[in-house]
Amino acid sequence: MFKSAYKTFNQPMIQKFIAGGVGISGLTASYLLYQDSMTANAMTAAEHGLHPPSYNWPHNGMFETFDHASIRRGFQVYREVCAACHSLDRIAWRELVGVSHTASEAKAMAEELEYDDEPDDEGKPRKRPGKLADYIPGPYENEEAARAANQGALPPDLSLIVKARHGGCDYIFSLLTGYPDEPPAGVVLPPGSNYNPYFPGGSIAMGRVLFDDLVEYEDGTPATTSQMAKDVTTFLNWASEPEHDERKKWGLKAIIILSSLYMLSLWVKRFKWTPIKNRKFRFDPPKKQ
Amino acid sequence: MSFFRDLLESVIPTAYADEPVEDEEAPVETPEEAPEVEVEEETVEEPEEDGDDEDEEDEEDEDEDEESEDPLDSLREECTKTIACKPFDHHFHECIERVTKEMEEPDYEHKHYKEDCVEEYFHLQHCVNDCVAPRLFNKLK
Repeated sequence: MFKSAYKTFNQPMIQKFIAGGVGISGLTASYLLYQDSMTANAMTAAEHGLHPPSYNWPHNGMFETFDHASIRRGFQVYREVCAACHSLDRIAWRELVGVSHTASEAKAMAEELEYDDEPDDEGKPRKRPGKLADYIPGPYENEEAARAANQGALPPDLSLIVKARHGGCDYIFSLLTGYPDEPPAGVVLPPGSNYNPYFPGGSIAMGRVLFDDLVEYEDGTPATTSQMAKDVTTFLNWASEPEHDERKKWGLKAIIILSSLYMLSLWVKRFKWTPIKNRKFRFDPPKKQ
Repeated sequence: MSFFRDLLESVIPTAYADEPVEDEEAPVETPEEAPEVEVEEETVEEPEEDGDDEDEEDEEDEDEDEESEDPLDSLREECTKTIACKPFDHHFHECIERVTKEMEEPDYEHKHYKEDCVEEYFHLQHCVNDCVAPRLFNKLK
């Protein structure tokens, strides 16, 4: 059976036919693949978002701490601008004490708000003014309410946002200041969204919120867009890393202590080994008599 | 550890928003105190930073005079005109022109491939950012 099949395949006409078929299907396949590759638009630059440049933040260095005046201004910006949509769930009023505000200032801000108290004797819910131990309340009751108020988009909680985004501070700053006056020509945005090159995909539900002189700083700093963005980013970085200053202090302490201990250990080693390293073995053979 | 704390704070100045001792004067004094602490912090910190400090001071003074203008906008404008970024700006505007012309065509809606200028915009912004980023924070407080 195989012999007869071999014979039929071995005929020159059929061989040519097979070779032609293979050639045609190969060419067709490569043409189709080529055509397909012409329209593929996955992994575009727009999809990744524009990479933010690295700004020289005052807290960048190994031994640099946060600019606390900037944190204070940034909290003001958060409170007057961002807090309309974004929560800050993990920060309590007490955490601002000694960082950006004095205890009485933080207390006064907490007391302006009402929090749930224990129920009274008849079991009815009560309200009480806020205390330092209370957490900063968010603008919405729950996620559904937040989505409903923002056309389905959830404003993320800002407590850890600097840690939660690639690029950290640089990204947040670039995002806040990066809204162009109009999207580049040809960009089609879904309804209700805005163009921001730094946001992966380009269309972001949040509009530009920071405009010059939107807030009035109590220390007289000119409230330009970039100044507010810098301050609020510094504040959010503090919110993400409240241990930052302390951590760098400990780092410096660790370097000082460990390096002096290392030097000490080197000295002790040499001290102990000096007699051993310097000893000399000498063999005096007994004199032959 | 107090020795170490003193040692460290002489190296790393830290601003504490501490309460004034007298409770009555607290609301009056705090707004005055806060800027004072900052000033101290800055004057101590500046010598530690790089050589740009003198420029920084000058620019800060300038900025205090003209309050409403954002240094970011003027820097961006300035950087768009540099030799490095000019070609990108040129390409971007060429693209806008091309795409807007294309959009006016009657069968634009049914076109198989619709060009956009995102890539040109990214290239321009990338160049502008590299020029703006090292200079911007010297102009901000």
